[in-house]
Amino acid sequence: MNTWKRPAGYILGILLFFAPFAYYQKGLNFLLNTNVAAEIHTFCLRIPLQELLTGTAPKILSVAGVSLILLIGSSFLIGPFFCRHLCASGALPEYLSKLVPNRFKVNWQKAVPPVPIRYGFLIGYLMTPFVAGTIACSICNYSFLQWLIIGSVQQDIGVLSSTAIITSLLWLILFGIFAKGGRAYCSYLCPVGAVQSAIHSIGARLGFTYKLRYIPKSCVNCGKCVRICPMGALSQESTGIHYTIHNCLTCRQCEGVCPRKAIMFGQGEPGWVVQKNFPQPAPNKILEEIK
Amino acid sequence: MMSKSSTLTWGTGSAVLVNVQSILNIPINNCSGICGSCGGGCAIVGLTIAGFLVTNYFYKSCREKSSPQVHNTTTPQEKIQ
Repeated sequence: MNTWKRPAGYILGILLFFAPFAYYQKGLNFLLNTNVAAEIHTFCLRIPLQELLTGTAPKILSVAGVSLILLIGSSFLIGPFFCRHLCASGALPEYLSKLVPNRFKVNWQKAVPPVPIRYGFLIGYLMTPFVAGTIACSICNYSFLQWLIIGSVQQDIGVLSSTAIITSLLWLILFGIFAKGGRAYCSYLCPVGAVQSAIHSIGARLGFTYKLRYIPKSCVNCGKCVRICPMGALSQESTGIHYTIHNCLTCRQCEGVCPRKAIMFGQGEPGWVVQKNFPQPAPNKILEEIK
Repeated sequence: MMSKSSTLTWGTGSAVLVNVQSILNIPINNCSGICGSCGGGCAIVGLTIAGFLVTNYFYKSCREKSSPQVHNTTTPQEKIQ
């Protein structure tokens, strides 16, 4: 994949989804004859999901409803398309982290298992209506990015709560600039990514869908794909490369860096070594050795 | 492989953390937090950051206690590069 395509997609994502631009919401408003605010929150995944879970009839012909259908459909057929091409909130810390030398970065995915946490957070978000939660949106990087964009464009920074300040530190600093790959936030705390990964893991079982495919015969186990993966979805074992589909945004950087074309994005059998459980986090393995 | 109980612990802990404000009944108005508007938000984000830092510290300390073989995880290809 050409190096300019990814940044161009993320800039397009800013124009499509974030205020003051939000051309996606404005366009859907025009098509559906609705009048929702043209900003990132009206596109929020949580609105239709919560309507479904709380028994409220979800409005399919709304900005949130159409967006959910597009998100689920694209994830099933071609993987996390939104994360891969359009999500500027995930891309910003990844690109910022490239400015920092690796020795200052923490490999969070090695220390803390990402898959149970990202699905746990997703379940927690969906549980909020049942436990009368009101501030599940506390950890939202989309809000903060929109605040940054509005502040930059309109020269008006407005008011920022302490929660937003701490969240921005988590998103941009701890899980961004000083994280290996710069996408620890996506790995652990993004419910939009978790939904897409869950659906992609189901869709990838079918032959006609697009997914990352692995050809073990071609693999020389050089580990370049493991090092470039921003999500920590790949691990190098003696038997070859192991893949965690639940933590992959199919950015295809592994495909681009592979010298033998052992990883390819396309239709067909996945070819990866099947892992029935999630990868063992390092501390547990080490503790067993100590015992 | 990660055991099912460990997966459940991490997952449940994360799900509870998102709802810690309602579970602990932290007031969302006029709290004594930094900004004075929403103490729950600070609690959630603060606990998340603290949790990750503690776990990473725990991981590093475990790695130091373990045998030197665990440190030496670089592949021959990595050494060459």
